[in-house]
Amino acid sequence: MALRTEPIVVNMGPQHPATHGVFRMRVTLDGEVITDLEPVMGYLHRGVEKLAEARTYTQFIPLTDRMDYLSSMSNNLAYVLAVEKLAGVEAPPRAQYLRVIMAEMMRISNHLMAVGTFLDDMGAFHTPLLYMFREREKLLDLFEMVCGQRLTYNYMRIGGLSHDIPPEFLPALKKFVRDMPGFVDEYDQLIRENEIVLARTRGVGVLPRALAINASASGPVLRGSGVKWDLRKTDPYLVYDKLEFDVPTGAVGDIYDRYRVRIEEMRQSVRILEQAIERLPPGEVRSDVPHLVHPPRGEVYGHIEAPKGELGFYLVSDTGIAPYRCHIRPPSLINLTALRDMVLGMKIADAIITLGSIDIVLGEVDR
Amino acid sequence: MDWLRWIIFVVIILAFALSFVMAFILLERRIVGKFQLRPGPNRVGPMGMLQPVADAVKILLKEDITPAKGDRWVHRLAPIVAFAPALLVFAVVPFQGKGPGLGFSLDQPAALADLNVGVLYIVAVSSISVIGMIMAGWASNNKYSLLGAMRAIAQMVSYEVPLVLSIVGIVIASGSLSLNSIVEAQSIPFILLQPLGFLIYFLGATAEINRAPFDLLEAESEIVASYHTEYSGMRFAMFFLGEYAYALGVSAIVSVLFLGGYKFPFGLLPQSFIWFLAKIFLVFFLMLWVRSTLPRVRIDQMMAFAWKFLLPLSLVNLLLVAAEGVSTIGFGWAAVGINVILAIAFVVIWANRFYRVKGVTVG
Amino acid sequence: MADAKKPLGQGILKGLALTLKHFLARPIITVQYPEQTLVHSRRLRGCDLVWDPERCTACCTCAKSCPQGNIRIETRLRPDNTREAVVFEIDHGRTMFCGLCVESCPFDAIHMGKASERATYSRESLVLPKEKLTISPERQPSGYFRPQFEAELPPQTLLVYGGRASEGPAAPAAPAGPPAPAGATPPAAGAPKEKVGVK
Ligand code: SF4
Ligand code: SF4
Repeated sequence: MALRTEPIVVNMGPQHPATHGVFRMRVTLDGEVITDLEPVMGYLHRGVEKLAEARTYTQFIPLTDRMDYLSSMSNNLAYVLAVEKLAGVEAPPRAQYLRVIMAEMMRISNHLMAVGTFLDDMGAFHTPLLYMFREREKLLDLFEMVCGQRLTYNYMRIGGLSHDIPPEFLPALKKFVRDMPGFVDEYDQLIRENEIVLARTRGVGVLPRALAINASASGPVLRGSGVKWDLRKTDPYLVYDKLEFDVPTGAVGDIYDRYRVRIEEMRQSVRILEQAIERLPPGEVRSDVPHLVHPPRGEVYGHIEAPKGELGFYLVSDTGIAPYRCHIRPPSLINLTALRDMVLGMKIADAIITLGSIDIVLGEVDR
Repeated sequence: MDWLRWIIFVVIILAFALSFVMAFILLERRIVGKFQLRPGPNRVGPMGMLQPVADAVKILLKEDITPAKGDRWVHRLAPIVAFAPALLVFAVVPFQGKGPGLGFSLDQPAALADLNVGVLYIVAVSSISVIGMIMAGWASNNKYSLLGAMRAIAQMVSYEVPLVLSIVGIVIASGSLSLNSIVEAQSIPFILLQPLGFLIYFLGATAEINRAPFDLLEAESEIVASYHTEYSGMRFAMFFLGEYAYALGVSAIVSVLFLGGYKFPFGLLPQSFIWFLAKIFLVFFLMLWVRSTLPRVRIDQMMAFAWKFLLPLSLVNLLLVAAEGVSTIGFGWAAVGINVILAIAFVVIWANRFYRVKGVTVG
Repeated sequence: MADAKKPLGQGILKGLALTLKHFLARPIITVQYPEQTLVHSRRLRGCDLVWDPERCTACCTCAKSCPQGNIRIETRLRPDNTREAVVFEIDHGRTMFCGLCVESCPFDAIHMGKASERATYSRESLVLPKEKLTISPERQPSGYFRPQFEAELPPQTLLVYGGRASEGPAAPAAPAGPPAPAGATPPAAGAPKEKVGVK
């Protein structure tokens, strides 16, 4: 005789330890098995796109810091690249290399945080997280050195950077680049072959290749599903076409693959950093662009490979000092849309770590 | 003068349990801190030693909240039901044996009651706490609490089986159910004689008291605080203390059953309760070490682990011990050698097999 | 990237070995804040904006460049046909310390401060009028966009060098290899509290 049971609807969030206070998942459970999931977002909506219309092009840069606050430099970069494309200006070569250095440091820092919190969601009681914070702090120190703050950098400017790097920066970065591969090995020792991690992540939260493409996922989520798509290679910007690096991809598209892709990307970022430091040319870091840019009438879509995926800015100019319209394509939001497909039929615990493995920042999802 | 002895022992045990629970809470935070490259709490008092006191004061001053739609009386009773058995366990734990020890000698074993069914008593008492958890989960009228309570039942019921089976091995080897006699029987600590049994007991007990990697009940990233989500203040503190009291209890039982209790290994030094306490800390350290390294397993994996991994191994262990008992090998050093080798072999073979049975390998 | 190895527990053992290694080596990476402090970046955008009434010509460029519209200036024409700011008010509760005002000031009259401790009990007290915005011992300017100050500030301590300012010859040799103890020395119980650099 089959027991008549009722599904439970659980509101995970917004006050739930794993949803960072600003995200809600309406989960329908049959025992521990998820039969339906509906992400509810918008708790952190600040109307960033609208604010852009009321700010000059330069004044919007600090606001981009506050979207994905774990990779502010990349947000800065994506925005200024879009504006530069719109206004037809270009940053001097030194600035281009420095931008690459900053973006790759940011990528390492973001992935450390992503992997660390993801393991935390898995219940690893903060140890991997703290090991990863150790390195992230070093990077934040370096960011603080160049631009004065640790989280909201506001470092890129239209046509270059706000400052040149101080002389102490490169030796310190070189030391970091020397040490980092050893640290990544250490994380691998802690996690990579851990049977519990394997059992929890292999075959869980699978995003098949076709679905990943259809959901227009990007970044490690897409590459974890085995699609070799990295804007640094497929649509090179800055000087990435002159640098040598590989694009790691996963095989199945499960959580483990995403995790591996992130770890590998850190290694590749270190490689990029090495080359960029070596080739860093001397010279100006800011071309002669006025504080108030008046781009010609037109529209533009600029995108970069941010740590979380494709971050795009669509800007329309009516020759004024502020964008007529600004639309942002945040990678977290688009990747998050695939969450339901990933977790149906899984357990609650899987939903949490799948959410962790997508690596979202709500500041960017809601904008 | 039995009653005098009982009163003294009740006081000793209460003092021992409560002070050790406090110490464990502090130690856990300090030691896990060290594992995580940070110092841990070090502000209140020298080396942070007054931290548990400060926490206790803070928690006592908090409001005691009862959910409006919850079952009020069950909600209030639950922490007591969950906490009390943790203290009962210590009634049969022998702190020091009869005869000369380090410093002083006793004319009877230092335990509140040297029950001749001590092992049975411990098994029985320690499974009462799950009732408290279910009560809490049900009475809170909260979905997370209910999910947590359901996990608690599943976990407790499954892990009890291998746990008890591994104790049976000890009982066969020592020929007694009294904890004191079990300690006396350990001229070779049972951890050497029955490494497999130790492994199973340790894993099962870790699961039974909800410590990592089996801390599914406290999976705060999944079900918030599980059955004590709706508790605050004093009642929350009782659950919290209860968890540590169980950790202390399990450490004590492991020391008694497998590490030779109050005896110094191989009798090199006279017996003393000091060795016993040291062993308790050792076992607790082991738990902390595991906790600060491993992520949590999933509920179905945990159940599979109990039924498909621990249960067969505990049967094998039982068979092995029984065979040695009736054969000429006995429980001497020859058995140690055989058992260590066999334990490693069985674990490796079964781990391999278990992994394939579950079919989690992908790609 | 499939790892085809058979899991027999060696992964867990490796992890346990690693954590035990760190436990025994005890490389504390955190800084015990009130006792130990790290030196901030010379370009720190601290929780302060410092204003120099002497240099300010009340041109209002800073107010115009502020994304928050956060600087309130009222000006007056002096008899000698220069301007001065009668009201110069910055709401430190609303500012996001982006530094655009500092960057745009043509007369180097407004600077980012280098203080990092600014807690008060009310929002109103964060609105600083011009008397409270001036340079004082607690309100020192940082070197953000001000190379003249930057040169004089002490170098930043970096965790890459284990909490030291640079990899100088005087620095004690850090153990080679990945688990190099990063961070400041922990305060030993009872030992005199050590200061990592000057604040
Ligand atoms: S720091 Fe930025 S937000 Fe603050 S007053 Fe200056 S320009 Fe405005
Ligand atoms: S930009 Fe500088 S000089 Fe002009 S009003 Fe602001 S602080 Fe004064």
